[in-house]
Amino acid sequence: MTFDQRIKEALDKYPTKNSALLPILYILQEKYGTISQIAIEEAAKWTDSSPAFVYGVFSFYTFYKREDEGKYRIWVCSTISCSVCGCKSLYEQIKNYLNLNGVTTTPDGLFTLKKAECLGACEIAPVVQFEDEYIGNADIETIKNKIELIRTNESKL
Amino acid sequence: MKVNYKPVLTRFFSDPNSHRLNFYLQNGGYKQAKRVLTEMKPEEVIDFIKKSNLRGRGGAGFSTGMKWSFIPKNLGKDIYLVCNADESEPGTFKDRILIENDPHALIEGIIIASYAIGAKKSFIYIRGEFVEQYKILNNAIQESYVSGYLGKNVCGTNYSLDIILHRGAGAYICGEETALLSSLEGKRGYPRIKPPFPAIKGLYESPTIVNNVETLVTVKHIFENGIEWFTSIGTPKSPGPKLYCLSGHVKKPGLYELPLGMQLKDLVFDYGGGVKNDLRVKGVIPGGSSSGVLKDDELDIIMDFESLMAKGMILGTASVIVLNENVCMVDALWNIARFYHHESCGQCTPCREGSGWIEKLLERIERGHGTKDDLKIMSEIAKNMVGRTICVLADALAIPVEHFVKRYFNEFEAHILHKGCPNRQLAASNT
Ligand SMILES: Cc1cc2nc3c(=O)[nH]c(=O)nc-3n(C[C@H](O)[C@H](O)[C@H](O)COP(=O)(O)O)c2cc1C
Ligand code: FES
Repeated sequence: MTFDQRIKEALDKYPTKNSALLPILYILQEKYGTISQIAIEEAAKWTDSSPAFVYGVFSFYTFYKREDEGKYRIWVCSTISCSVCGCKSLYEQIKNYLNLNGVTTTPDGLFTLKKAECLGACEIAPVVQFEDEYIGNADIETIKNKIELIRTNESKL
Repeated sequence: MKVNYKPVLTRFFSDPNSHRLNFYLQNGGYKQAKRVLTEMKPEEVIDFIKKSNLRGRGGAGFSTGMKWSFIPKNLGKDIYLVCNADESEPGTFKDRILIENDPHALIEGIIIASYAIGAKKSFIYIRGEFVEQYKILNNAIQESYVSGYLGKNVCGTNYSLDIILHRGAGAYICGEETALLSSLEGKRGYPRIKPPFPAIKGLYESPTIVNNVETLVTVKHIFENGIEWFTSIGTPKSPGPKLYCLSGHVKKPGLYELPLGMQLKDLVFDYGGGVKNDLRVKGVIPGGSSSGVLKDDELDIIMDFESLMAKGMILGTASVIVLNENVCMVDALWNIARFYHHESCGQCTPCREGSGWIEKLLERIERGHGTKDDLKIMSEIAKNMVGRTICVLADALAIPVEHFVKRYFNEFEAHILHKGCPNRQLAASNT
């Protein structure tokens, strides 16, 4: 299915057009990589609303990718159960490994490191969400391997 | 002491196929939906659940049957059932595991509940981060459509039902039922003033029931096993099985299906195996980070709605977080405050500003710049947040502030007197 077809399908599912806004933003994020200004304007057209309204909605939700984010997200849960299980030092280790000094995205635009709030998987703390995947009982070695795998693959593109 | 209880909700979870339709059907799946739709009137279904005295598992513990009965009759408007799968109260992971292992039990519960309230459309609002769980649930829904358990003529009856699976996008507040409805309508996740309650004016201004995942799964099991089974478990006012989540400094973290009304210390020691590295307990958060905290000599408390309420705390989601003797309680509370400040939707001044000030005060105390008055100021801010906001996110921070400061007052005071955390290296989570 094309992006447009998927958007039409989403619109058909809901009693109001506006209800399809969150799903449409997800589809446009796949299309454009992030929620860019173009994506916002497109979402507004599909839902018969204004870019200002769509931006207001989008900016409320943390899970959409911002324009300044890298291609891959690394979210380290920093809420209480993960916090008492060592997430702070894990975060620092990843930050050092990626050489992030005062920024959250690597200069090559590949990785964005952020602190997340409880990811709903506290039994396997500390938890990292690497793109869509949950990594439980996370340690720096596992994360390093993932990063290197992506680096290798990306250099072949 | 361990109790004599045979798990029902989670009994097949060790089987790698438990999420599949075939497996579900082989184990009596969709029989209850079929029986209910063919043999019972909607009012009878509501009465049945009322009699079981099932209380909502999303945190507030409101009677499920009672809530269903609030739907106005013959209004001529569409009616909606919304399943709350936004699970984000820190410490909680039961709905995620239910969806991963038994999505069809949730769908069957939704069919029964939708039929009872007269809904033809139902929504599942699942938190955005649960990408894998979204896929599992989406697959299960497709399987049910293909096999005639959803869509037109559910189970071969006259009743038709659609389920729309809707992804959230990262916002704790969207677990609050009215915020969830705003979000489902494609708006910012702002809670709405109640009344009107969703049962009167909910999604698209239509009568709407919002129920938690575990609640709806439990509904199915009550029909399968009977009211007597259900009320024979737990306490008279808090009957039935409960999914307890254990996390933090406990040897065996995980999900435990046990009767409501367990002793907290049995959960932590007999099931959880006690504290990691055989350290001592400093505190236990009983029901998710908003619920309060108990000291090591209070762990004989009964885990039901009434016993925690009597202490000014809440059972919440029954998510137990164990904190060992090395945890700095100022730091732990700072972490909790940071969470609620970050997640405040910003509509109400007491919550938006109060949570921010409390976070700042705790940071300053932890870093050694606290002053004599800070604890008093913080408690006053917390008191003034309660009951003055649209939703109870403000209370969710006020409760832990009150109980952490009350129970560990000396530790808070020591931070101020000695200009910093005596435990600095051991406890470093926020900085
Ligand atoms: C700030 C806040 C967050 C909440 N988060 C959730 C949640 O993630 N999941 C949930 O089921 N209920 C959550 N609730 C409770 C819901 O508002 C609602 O009471 C519940 O979904 C009703 O379902 P039940 O009657 O089956 O328990 C939250 C409430 C508040 C105030
Ligand atoms: S606190 Fe990290 S997953 Fe819950």
